[in-house]
Amino acid sequence: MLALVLLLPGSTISDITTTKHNMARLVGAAIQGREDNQVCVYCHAPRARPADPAPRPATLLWQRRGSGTFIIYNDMGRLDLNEAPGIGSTSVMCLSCHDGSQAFGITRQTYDHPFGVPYRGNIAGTAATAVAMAPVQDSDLPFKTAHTRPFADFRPAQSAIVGNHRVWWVPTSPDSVTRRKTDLPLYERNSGPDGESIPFVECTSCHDPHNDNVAFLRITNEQSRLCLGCHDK
Amino acid sequence: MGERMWNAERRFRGLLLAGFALFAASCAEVPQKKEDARKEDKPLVFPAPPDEARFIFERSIYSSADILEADKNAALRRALTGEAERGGEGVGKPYGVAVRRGKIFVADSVGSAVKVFDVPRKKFSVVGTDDPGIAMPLGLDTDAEGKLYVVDATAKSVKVFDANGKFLRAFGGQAMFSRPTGVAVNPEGTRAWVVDTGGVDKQVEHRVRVFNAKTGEHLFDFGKRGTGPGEFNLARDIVLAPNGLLYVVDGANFRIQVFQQDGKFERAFGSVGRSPGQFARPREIAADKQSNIYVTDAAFGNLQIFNEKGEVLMFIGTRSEADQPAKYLLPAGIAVDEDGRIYVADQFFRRIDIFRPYNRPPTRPGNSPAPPPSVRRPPLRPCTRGAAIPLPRSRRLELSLPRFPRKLPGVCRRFPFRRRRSPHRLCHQPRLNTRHCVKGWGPIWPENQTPAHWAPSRFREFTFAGSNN
Repeated sequence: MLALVLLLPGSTISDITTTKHNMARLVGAAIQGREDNQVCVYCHAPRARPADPAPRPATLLWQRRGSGTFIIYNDMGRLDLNEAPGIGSTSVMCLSCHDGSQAFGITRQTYDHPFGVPYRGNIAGTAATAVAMAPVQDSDLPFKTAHTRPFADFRPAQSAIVGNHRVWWVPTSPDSVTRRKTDLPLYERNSGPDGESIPFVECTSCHDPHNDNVAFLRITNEQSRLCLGCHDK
Repeated sequence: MGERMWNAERRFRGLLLAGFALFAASCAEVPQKKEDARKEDKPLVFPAPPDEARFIFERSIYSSADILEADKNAALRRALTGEAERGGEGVGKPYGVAVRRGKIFVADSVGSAVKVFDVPRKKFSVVGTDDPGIAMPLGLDTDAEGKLYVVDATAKSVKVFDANGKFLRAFGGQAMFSRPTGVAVNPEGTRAWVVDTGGVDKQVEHRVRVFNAKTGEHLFDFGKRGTGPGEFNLARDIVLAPNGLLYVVDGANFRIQVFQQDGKFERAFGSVGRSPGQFARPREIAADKQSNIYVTDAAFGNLQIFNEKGEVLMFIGTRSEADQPAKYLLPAGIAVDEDGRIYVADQFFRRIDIFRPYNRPPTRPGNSPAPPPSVRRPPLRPCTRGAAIPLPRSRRLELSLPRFPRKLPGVCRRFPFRRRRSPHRLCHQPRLNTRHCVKGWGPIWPENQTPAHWAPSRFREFTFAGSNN
């Protein structure tokens, strides 16, 4: 029922089809998207499911072994439907297009907000602290000095088990106990001691590539609401 | 007399052994490192056994330190002390790659320059530092003269440099392109095909624009935005294969489109998916002499090789967060050189990986560069016994120690400089056990088994210039 309401014409709800991330938007008047009218495939490469009557994967003429499917980056934020998780964060997925060719380029070298770094909000004093902070401390990145803030300057993150994964987020409203769409997701990496789960800040923590807000921000940044979601200043 | 000499020789060899033992003892503090090094030495071949090996990993380049002579010491120091610092000048964010006679050109889209790693000549240089500069270099190509063509995404033009990196001219301009990305130039340097990626909010500018590469005159275009044959959606790169066809990476249509040089559509291959022969985030493209097509894919973290018809042959590389050979997170630029070596740039690790065809000898810094095709050396051939030129007795004595194994696992190859006396004659010195090389042919040694490895001090003075590769 709810879905029907959302799909009503004239609804103000917007989705990816109206954004720049719909790569099929201006493909042609007659052809909206690809032949199968999919707009998700540009970022989420489809898996071949066993039930699909899809053609068999091409035979590698020089390489009889190793066919099958390639593992790609973590395009779903580690909620990978019980499959092996992707290799490389969601940020890597962003960078695979945002390289200066078809979209503006991003690089970890610029003095920008860091991404692919452990969230400092709730690791103070834990065994994972040293390990989690190592990438930042040892890196030669400019934000080492510019952006490393004390642990106390961050709000604590919350986590829950969803399916067989731990899911992390920073609530943007104080009374939030369960995860909401307006909360800022963090992305788990099992990089602590003994594979301990550590939340990381990625591009998609603050940006939702599917919405049509300014700069694809997850929530409005009026009065720095987005910044203050994590930063306790 | 003979026995005394034999004893002397044995003593000498004993000393040599003792020296090695001392050296080994001095290294005893870092056994773990040696163990690791040995593991790394295991050659990486593609495809893996039991399939027939086609390519072997040769080297990775992170910075000028990997090719410059002075930094050999730094490499040794790193190995012995565990020092993590890697000096030299690297690439901020590599994008396009082009190779010409051993010179590797890498577009540094953040560093606003093209970094040139000249492996055979052990030189590093930077193109684009003088006016007018290159604001954001992306795709690269070279012509037969060695001129370099660079797409400048900010200036929206193609900049042409001579073989020494001197700026010659530019063509295109703000009015001509929306988002120029890839360039292909014919070997004569007369025609250039430039891909305009277009951008997601552009309707028309998804096309290939063709120029007279000498005058910069715009000739014609082909393609527009769409999904049909000959239409593009965010095309990324283009290559002119030796079979005379153009192969264009049609990024958001997840396919490679093939065109004749006048823009006539030939065929297309590839689809969206996660299997071999498909694409998820195709980026750059290259072609080898057989017109096999190489395509990097940033989602798969690999490069796939197709034949000219578009049948998938094999792939190299896997996704990994570990900065190791043949492991990628964001592979981008790719090039194939005259000898069939593959050069792949990874933007995340800021690294260039080089793979050579399995049947080619290795190249090392300082080796003679690949010669131009007209004077290419004859191919390797099995050694033939019995046609050595004996040297004068005095020279024989001079070279009689130490004793080498009866037969070094070398192969014979004709010397390029036959008039040079010393390498020519030394190679036929019988005690070097090279007499199985016929006149005019000399040994080349496999890596890590050169005479210098067998007796470093004794044979340092003898160079085998030109005998390797």
